Amino acid sequence: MKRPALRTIFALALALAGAAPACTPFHLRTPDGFARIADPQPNYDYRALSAYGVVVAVRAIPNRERASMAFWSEAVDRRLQRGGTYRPAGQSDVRTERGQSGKSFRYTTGDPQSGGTYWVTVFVTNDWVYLVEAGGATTSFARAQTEVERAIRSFQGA
Amino acid sequence: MRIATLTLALCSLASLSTAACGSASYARTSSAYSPSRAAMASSGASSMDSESVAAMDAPSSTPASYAPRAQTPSRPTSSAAPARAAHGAQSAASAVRPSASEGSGASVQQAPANVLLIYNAQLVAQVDHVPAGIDQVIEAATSIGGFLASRTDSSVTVRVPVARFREALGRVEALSTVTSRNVQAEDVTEAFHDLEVRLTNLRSVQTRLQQFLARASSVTDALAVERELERVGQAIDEIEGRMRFLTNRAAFSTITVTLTARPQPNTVSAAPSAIPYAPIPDTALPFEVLEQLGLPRLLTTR
Repeated sequence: MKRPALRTIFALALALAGAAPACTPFHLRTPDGFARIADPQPNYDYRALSAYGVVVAVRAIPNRERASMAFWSEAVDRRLQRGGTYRPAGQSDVRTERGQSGKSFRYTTGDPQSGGTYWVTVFVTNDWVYLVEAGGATTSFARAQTEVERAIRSFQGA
Repeated sequence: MRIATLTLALCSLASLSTAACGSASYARTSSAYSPSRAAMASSGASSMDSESVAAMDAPSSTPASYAPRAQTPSRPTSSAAPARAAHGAQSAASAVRPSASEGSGASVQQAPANVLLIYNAQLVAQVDHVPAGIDQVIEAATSIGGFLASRTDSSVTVRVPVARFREALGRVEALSTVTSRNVQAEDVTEAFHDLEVRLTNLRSVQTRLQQFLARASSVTDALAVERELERVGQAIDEIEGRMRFLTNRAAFSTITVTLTARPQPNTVSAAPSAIPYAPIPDTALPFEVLEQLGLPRLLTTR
């Protein structure tokens, strides 16, 4: 009687560990064709990359200021446009599969042939700010775009 | 025997036509200049007086004073081309000649009769609105019988009848603030006269060749004369073309106006300040994560 209960708890913990990146209060389904990096390096809480060089990453930052989505969205967008390196290529509101609202910003840098594409999607909760980043060479990113969009829609923050 | 005689005659005619084409001084020495307009302004005058301005704006139908000159007046000049060219020269010569110091004192000197001048003016002017200014210059030119020659975003070239050259300059000055003015007159009288003499001589040669052709008794003779007639005809065409060109250039003066926008007065008078302007820096948000955004860091996976 005791053994099955322990096994159930262990299995449940394992499943939870698989569903969400280690110790971070969010969920993101790794895009098809991408490999999740075990050690995402400092400042990133999740990272996955494709064999052709497109990277998807998530940062989770404590929202100590309790700032709104409008604040964080504008802060991110202004920072990226400062200096002129990133040219805005569009922005849109995002609604995930689980109903979470976010704001997505798309940028390009360099020339269309050899430049890059960079997306940042901002999700804000009372306690956390999530920045879902995706990018790579523009020519490669076009191939991964559908999978990246799907992954963003799968996002769920705490 | 007959062929030998014809050949000799052709050779002499050829040498005559060559001399007519190649040696203008030969013809000029025997030409008779007869300027009928005695009223010539003094050659040293450099300031424009009201009389000369009035003369400049005179219509081109000023009584003819330019008589075509021929090397050999006894020979008939049946073609109307010299007369036409001379008429154009006369029309052009009815204008007045702006002096080199036009810009400083708006001085113009009356050109003597029998003088064929090509006028070119370059103006730099300021207007409130450059495209509108260009349109106004074109309109001013067309209203006095001129036409647009070319235009760019900031300049326009128009050609106006030489008799109304001065009027055209005045109109441009009225619609803008002229900051620089350069008026030049190119004297092509001598060149035109040389062409005229050569043309007269060639026509004489042509007439005599036609007489030879009428008397030719064999195909060989006729062909030889025909070849020579063709050569002379081509030379006549070239000279007539050149004369038409000079006449046209003299009949219409060229005015090029480069326009710049007139500086607008400041509508807001800022109080003088000794403190130089310093751009307000962006407020740096105290969030380190914002400084870590971007592709380079994202793509660094090692």
